[in-house]
Amino acid sequence: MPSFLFWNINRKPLESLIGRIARRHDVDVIMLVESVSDPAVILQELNSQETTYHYAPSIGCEKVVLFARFSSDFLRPILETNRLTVRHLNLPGVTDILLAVTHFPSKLHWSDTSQMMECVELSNSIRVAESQVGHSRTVLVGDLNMNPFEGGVVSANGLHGVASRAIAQKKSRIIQSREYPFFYNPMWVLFGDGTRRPPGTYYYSSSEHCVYFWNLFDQVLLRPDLIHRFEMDALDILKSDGDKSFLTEDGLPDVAMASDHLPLFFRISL
Amino acid sequence: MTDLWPEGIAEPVTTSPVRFIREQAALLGQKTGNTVTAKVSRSEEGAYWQSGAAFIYRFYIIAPTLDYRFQLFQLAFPIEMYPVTIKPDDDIMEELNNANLNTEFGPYGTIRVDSEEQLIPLLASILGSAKSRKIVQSLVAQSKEA
Repeated sequence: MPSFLFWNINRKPLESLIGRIARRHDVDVIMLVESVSDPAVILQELNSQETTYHYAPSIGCEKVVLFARFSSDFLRPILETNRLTVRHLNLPGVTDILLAVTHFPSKLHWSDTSQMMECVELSNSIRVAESQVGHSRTVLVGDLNMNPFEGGVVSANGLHGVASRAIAQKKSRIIQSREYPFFYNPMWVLFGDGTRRPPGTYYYSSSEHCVYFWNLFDQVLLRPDLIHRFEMDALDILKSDGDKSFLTEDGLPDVAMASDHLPLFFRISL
Repeated sequence: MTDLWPEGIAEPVTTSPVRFIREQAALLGQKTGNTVTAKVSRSEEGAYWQSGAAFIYRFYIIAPTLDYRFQLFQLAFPIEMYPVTIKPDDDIMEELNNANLNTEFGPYGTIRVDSEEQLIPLLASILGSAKSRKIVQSLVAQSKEA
């Protein structure tokens, strides 16, 4: 049952924290964005106790960095743009899946409308990759810089991510004679204080009227064909590496110690 | 029946912009011995970055033996063919921004050209960009080892 870690590390040298998370949570695939460290330095830390991790380089996407606890031959990129790498995770003896990892444009530079429109492009690219491999066992993970309720994530011609498994399992929806496949977005269960986890992955406060404070920008979404393989109870927003907390005493991301985003952890049974 | 259509109506007066990118796509395969090729695919979805575009195409660089494709740019144009709007890869756009091209930069990381005379040098800049070179060279090297 491969386990996955996604983290926006805020352009900081967090190798030791990544290494500790990887070992503590037995992570198989590590996906980093806003990583400026030399992959060799991260790899050295990941393998400081035992040589288990491999660098799985992209060809055309420089915004996402991947490491895996198996040869990168089993995690080949099949389609890329500069903000998206789609990997064919094809481990021997188990079901193959597509792993699409993205770092979407920030709200600092893009309006909500622009983000929503760009989701159409992201969705198209994922569908091209699915057509390339001939199935839609796809998991999309990334810093979407949008919340699960925003138009780009929810819209049919965007990611079409819905909060209900029952709805997602209808596979697709037809609008104006065009068919749009669903994603299931399990991130909805992580909103707010209802769980033992932090109320989001990214905190932002400003002196304007409408502020969410906690956001779930870092998300994992699954095509209906993968829902039954997703281990819901394992989905987690990590608040420590087992030793050091990623949160301040006030419960906010400790930017001085770690990143302004919290890491996301999940497992998929293949 | 009287033929009311004017003489020469079926003879195009302007070369379709997609013809230029298809020609370039074919040339890449020739240069690399088909190790790395390029493909132009028509997109069914509309392009938000050019409203009213009747035709939208994606230009991919492809490594067949690696089963890999990279989207280098998109191109959209209306039924009248011009203006053409191109949306290059973000890194290429950054290169173009620094290159003092005589082109009109639009919203959403796009470039608009009004004629064939502007389109050809723009395509040359995109295909000749450091990012394009890097991707093609990397794919050629990796394909040979695959």
